[in-house]
Amino acid sequence: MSASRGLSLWRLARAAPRTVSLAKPSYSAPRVLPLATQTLTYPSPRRLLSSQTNSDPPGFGSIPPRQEPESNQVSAEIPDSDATDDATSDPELTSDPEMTSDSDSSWSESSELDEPSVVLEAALGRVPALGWTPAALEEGARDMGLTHVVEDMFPRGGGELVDYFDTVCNSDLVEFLKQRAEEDGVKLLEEAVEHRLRMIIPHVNNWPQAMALKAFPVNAPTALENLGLLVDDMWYYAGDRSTDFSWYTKRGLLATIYTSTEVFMVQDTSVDFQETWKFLHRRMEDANTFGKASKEFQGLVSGGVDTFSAGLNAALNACGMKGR
Amino acid sequence: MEGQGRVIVCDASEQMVDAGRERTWNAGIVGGIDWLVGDAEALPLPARSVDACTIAFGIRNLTRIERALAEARRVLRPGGRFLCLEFSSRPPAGIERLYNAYSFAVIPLLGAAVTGQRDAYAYLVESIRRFPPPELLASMMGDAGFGGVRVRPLSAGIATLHSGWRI
Repeated sequence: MSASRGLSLWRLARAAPRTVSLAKPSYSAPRVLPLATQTLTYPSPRRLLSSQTNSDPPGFGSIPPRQEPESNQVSAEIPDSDATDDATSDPELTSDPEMTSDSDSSWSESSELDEPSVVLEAALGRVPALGWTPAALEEGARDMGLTHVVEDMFPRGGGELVDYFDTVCNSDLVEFLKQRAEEDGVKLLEEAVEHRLRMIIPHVNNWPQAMALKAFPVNAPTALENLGLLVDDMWYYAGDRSTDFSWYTKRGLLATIYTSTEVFMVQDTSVDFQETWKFLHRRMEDANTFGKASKEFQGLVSGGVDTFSAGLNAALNACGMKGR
Repeated sequence: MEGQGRVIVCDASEQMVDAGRERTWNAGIVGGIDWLVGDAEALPLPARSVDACTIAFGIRNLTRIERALAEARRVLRPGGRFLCLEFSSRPPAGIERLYNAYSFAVIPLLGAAVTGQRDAYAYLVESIRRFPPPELLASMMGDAGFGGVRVRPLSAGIATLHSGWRI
């Protein structure tokens, strides 16, 4: 059996072509736009705000200043996604008439370089349909004219996409807070939390999946770091400059408020999430009037004694351990 | 789509391509693989036509490694991945003397005994020693236009896997 099978395979193979035929494509290839590079780890929120990136990790060569990818131009240039999927998944070798050798050299002269956050940004557009998954990253890469293999650049998959989304939203929030720095502190906190949570609304249907991803051990450290930076930014622009223990209690309290409101929001079905904002308002009122840290909440500028050290002093006095 | 990928195998020697083809057919795989005879420093493929490019235990045989890297970059689509598996030029830490003794004394003799070609295996060992160390190859990949270059030692440092994305 194996001999005859081998013989028939041999005959089949003898008829096979030795080289590959180059077929002409039947679609117009997606254009790859020149993009600036960045490091493989994404920038912290403050770096996103500046357009100068100066650190050059080995292997990336020189990094020109980050340019905004023109999203309007991209949407006009992207061909129909179905046709693109067929074409890029088509295993036939295609010789692209647009990308001949002279245009290839012009690409290499210009800054035809990849930027990981470009893939992430395009993948966000695919999240409503595909969720926070590597599939969204693959489709986002295809939308930008890249090959789906670039999805391997993100080993944590959906977790990295959520992390990027949080980073971008946090930096947008900072812009919002900078414009409102003059206002009353506690009121600004509530507006800041509402503004930040409203950024989730386009993805609110998939947000439980994102929250679950953030709980995974691989994603939890960066998720906690993002939350910490978020509440720190909110308190800073609300006017807090404390340097004592109340720094921690304030941020911990705000993080609790933010997270509980977020959880409430994903199951809220009211119009424009009005119930969520009422929930938030109630939590802020609670923090204002009750609780150990209410004194810090009301006194935004530290300069006096916070409750922790007041309590400690009182206890020491009661024990007679403090000096006269 | 899993199982639907296409592979193009390219080698400089026609006998190697024939041998590979026969082995593949004997393993029962008749479709999905295209066979090319070509030079890694001048690949017979159009620009931006492949999603991933791999070379295993072959790059040290090339005279100009930069050319091979540039060719890989040329044929890769943006975002495509390049992977290079190669012996480490430096022996693993701690067993250097044993490794050197084994390489220079035992391997050529074994090669002579099994295949009758002692010189080929002496060349093998020497070409491993002449190959750039992993960090140098990683920086060469960076210069050639690959980003996110990662170096991964395998088999306790005997082999190294370099990977990068075409940017």
